[in-house]
Amino acid sequence: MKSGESTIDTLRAECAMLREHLGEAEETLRAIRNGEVDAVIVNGRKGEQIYTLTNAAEPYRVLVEEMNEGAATLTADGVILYCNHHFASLVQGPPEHVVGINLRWFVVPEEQELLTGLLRTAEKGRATGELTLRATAGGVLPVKIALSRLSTDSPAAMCALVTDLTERKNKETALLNLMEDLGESKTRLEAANRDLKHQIEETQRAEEALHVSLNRLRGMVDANIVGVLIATADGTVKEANDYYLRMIGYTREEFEEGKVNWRALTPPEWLSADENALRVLKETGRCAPYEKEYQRRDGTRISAYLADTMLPGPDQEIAAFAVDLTERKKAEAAVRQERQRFFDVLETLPTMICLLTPDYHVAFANRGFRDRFGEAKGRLCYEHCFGKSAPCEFCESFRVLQTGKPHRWEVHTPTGEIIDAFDVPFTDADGSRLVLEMDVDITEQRRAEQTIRELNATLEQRVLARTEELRQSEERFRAIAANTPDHVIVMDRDLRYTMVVNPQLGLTEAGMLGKTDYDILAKEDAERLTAIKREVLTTGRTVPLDMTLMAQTGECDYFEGAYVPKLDPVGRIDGLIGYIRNVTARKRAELALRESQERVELALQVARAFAFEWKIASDEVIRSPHCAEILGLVGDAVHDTGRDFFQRVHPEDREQFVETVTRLTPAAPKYAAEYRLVRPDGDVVVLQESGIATFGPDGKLSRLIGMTADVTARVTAEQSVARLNEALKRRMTELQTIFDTAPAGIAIAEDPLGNQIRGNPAIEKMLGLGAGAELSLSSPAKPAYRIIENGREVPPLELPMQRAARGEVVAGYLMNILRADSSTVLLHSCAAPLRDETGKVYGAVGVFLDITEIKRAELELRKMTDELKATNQELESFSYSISHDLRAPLRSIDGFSRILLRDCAELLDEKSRDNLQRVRQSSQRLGELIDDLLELSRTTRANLHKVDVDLSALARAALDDLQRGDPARQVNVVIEPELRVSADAVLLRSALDNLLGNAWKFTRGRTDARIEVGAVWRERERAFFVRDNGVGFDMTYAGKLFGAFQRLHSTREFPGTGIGLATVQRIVHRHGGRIWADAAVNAGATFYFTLGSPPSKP
Amino acid sequence: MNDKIILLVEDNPDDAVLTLDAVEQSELRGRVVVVDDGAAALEYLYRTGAYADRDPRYDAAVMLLDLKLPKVDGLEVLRRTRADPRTRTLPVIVLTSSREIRDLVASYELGANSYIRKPVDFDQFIEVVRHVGNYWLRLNEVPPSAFVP
Repeated sequence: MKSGESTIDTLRAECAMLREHLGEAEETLRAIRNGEVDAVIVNGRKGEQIYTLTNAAEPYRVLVEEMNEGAATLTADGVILYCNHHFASLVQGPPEHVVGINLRWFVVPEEQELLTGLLRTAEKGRATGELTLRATAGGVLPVKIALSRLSTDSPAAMCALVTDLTERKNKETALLNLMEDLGESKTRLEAANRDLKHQIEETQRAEEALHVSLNRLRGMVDANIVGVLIATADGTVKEANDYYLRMIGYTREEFEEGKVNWRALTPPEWLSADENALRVLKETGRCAPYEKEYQRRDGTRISAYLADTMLPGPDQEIAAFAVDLTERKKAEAAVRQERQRFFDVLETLPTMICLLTPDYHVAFANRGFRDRFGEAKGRLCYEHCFGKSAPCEFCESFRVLQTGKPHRWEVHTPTGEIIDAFDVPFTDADGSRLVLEMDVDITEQRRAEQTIRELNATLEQRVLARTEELRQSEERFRAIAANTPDHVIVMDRDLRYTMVVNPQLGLTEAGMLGKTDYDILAKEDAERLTAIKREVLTTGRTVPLDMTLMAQTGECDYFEGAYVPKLDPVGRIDGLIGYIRNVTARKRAELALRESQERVELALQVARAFAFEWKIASDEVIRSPHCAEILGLVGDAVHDTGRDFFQRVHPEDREQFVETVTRLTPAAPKYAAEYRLVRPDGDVVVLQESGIATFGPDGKLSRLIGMTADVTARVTAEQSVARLNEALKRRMTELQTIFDTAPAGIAIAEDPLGNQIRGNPAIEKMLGLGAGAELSLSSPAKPAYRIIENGREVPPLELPMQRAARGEVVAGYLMNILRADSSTVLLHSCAAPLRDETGKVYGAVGVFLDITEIKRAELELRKMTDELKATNQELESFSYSISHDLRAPLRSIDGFSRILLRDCAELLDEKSRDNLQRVRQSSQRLGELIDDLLELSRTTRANLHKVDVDLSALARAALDDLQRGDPARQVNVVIEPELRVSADAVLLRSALDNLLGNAWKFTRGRTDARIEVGAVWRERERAFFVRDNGVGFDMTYAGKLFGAFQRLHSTREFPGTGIGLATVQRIVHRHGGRIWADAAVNAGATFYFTLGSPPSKP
Repeated sequence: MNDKIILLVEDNPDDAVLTLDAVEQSELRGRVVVVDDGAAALEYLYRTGAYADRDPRYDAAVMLLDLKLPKVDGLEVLRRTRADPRTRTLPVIVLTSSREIRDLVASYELGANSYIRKPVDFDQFIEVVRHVGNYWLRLNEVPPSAFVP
């Protein structure tokens, strides 16, 4: 190698030489690459060495060579042993320049350490990283690099995959720039030259390495740029890389060797593609890459681009390299869809559309086209459409293919049609150039235009003729209109007046012609009127007018009439004619009439009256509306006849009603009547009617007109007033009678001060005054009596009448009256104010009772009561004394007599002993008498405690006591159970003791003695009885029965004090009852008694 | 001294004699002490006044009490007897002429053990005394404390 000081010429020569070497190297490499070289002879330090290349790895090489990534094999220290084109382009040099160069050279200085690290890491397996490659002109190129260790038995053992991370530089420009830099180029050429031999050596080693093991390629494969699958010919999967797994959606575990047959990954319709590729591969050893679809694990499908190759070895393994084409397929599908959509639009467009190929075939015809020409797709256009054998001589459609611009032209077809054609150049999705033609058949249109042109010519002539007719007609019309009293107007389509006859509202013909309604009328009226007129113009109908219209001057009138459309000679509406009449005067009259009618009706309604007209001849009756309510008629019943009405007149009033009507004469046609009428609902109303009759020429009554009023309320009110008056009169009479005859004094003050009081005869008498005397002590004519209280005269203001006249109600006021004759009376008085209907007091009324006698009696009674109380108290202590003191001596008499009889029996003779015995008996009898008297007294004094008592039980207890006192007696006792009474239990027991004691006593001699207690009903009163079957008694002496000490039997016969029945009677009386007896000698006795209080019947 | 003491409170000397006779006739083993007014009865019971020196052995076993008494009437005597713990359980028989219910009710309300109306018939009276004596002196049991003054 020459040094850098060489001349330019030398350098150029060297450069040329180097280029030659370079060319040779390139050629060699190319030959190697293409498999054209079977062996390379390298002349090196070791002498001539021959390296042979086998075909074994060729498919890989092809694949690697064609990959869109930079791929290279490196020595452990980074020298590039092999690279593909893409790699070379990334490092900006042809592969032959790159091979043999250390990768470090391409990496910017700052990242040398990084690269070293990556290489070291890759020695252990795999490394990826990003590096910046030096680019030309001082630029840089960021790339991603993936380094994979190759098999251990290879001397240079890693492969690199480099991906461009920036926009790809223009390789050629970079090279050019490099070449232009001569100085640098020289160095590089020298380096290249120097390295070339070394590179060849390394290349051969690399080729060996390639040849040695598939593992090297697996390393690349695992770099995950393409999917790789290795399988046996029978479909057993040996291995797959991550990319492949991702592509078909399986996990590595699922995909372990032998578990999945790769044919199962292929949908059935794609199996033949696989088989075809395999067949070719087997036959030729090469495989043309092809497309197929995979069935992913989740059932979806993906498209893949696939290249198969046989792997060397006995297993006949096949490696498949797959690239996911899904995205590309999607894009293709989108293009297809878009195209379809476009054709769908063309299909539906309402014109004829076709696509023509340059060779006159119809590629597409839409519905419009097919409708006209039939199914034309694929046919020759001239042949199909026009039955020609060659392209039409007039055709301009294909011009657009030359000009590239749209073209519009008119086709006059051989079949006589005229078509408006529009052609545009059209490039289909597959890039084929077509003509898109849109055709509109304008034959009919052209024909119609021609017809119209012809018609127009005729029409003009007719218009001229009709215009003349119209002119004459209008003249006639004007002549008629001018002589009508009505307002006639003619307007054109713009609603401007073209003719005015008899202008209204103070307007003039001149002021209206050419004007619109908006120019002459008030705005609202103009709007309303214009709306009507527009209706005439648009519908062609006659529209009536009935409204007030106001001119802008403020003048206002009411119009009726109609607008009719005005036709031109050919019958089109070209305006309108109005026939209007001013009806203001009539409308005013109508309005006034209606108002007055309403007023009358209102008046009638208020008066509860109605007007009527009765036409005698037809018997028809017409009434004003309000009659229905008064007559109680509903609906059509209002329209009735005179006969119907007469039927409703109250029967008692009909005769007079007829008489009233028949009495009418032309001289005296007026009448007034009041009669009753029975309404359909049964109510009777009183009607007051006044009317006037009209008579026909024959003097006969022809009709009645009048007014009828409902006066029921008035009549009813009158009647009730009369009734009230009558009742009032009676009440007054009653009151007067009471006033005159009442024993109580009544005084009435008819002034609010009580200065004038008059009274009834009773009070006059009480006060010792004459009839009609003034009673008020404050009147000027002071009456001759005085009212004294505590020795002084009471002032009139404090008296009851004057207090009541001031609004007070006085009750129970006592007045001591000192009469003129010095006698006194005591009056008890009450007084109350008299009020008018507003509540204002206008007087007073007082009632006076003479209680002089009552008071005296009361005093006496009180005195007697006091005395009685004292007596009672005396009696009380008397009884107590008897109880204690009267009995004590009796006991002494009896006791000592007994002791005497006992102690001195021997000293006394028989008679004395008998006498002493008599003393004892008398004292004991006296004791009994005292006891019974005390009992009688007690029944009188004791307080009555009424409770609910079972009389049956009391009687039972009393009889049990009697039985105990006399166990030997056998008496049949019958007691009615449950005799419940309200009584004092102690007293009732005492009475029963006495009655039952008597019954017990007087049945003593009976062997079949029977005592019965019960109750009977006597005159709505319950009477209890005690019955015995004893000796009874003579009813002659029944009167003595209940007197004290009265006895009907001798003591010897039946002992007793004669006080028992008196006690019973007193007890019964105290209960408010009565007692009686029923008896006969030797036939038993029954004593009945009641207990007063109203009994409740069981 | 086995005879129990019957305290008879009676102001009527006839009645007292008759009662003593009746006790004697009824052959009761008891001695009758007669006092003629309520005050004396209370003095005897509580050994005060005239009876301050009374031998406690002569405490009454039963008291026959008339209601109508001089000085302190029978109901008052009964009330005080019942109010005093020493005599609260002393059997008290009201023996009276009164048949007034109010006396009967009052006696029982104040705690009388029995209420007997003196019959006019002396034979009946003897029967009554015998019954009373038999019952209250022989059959009736009283708590021991009744005799602790």
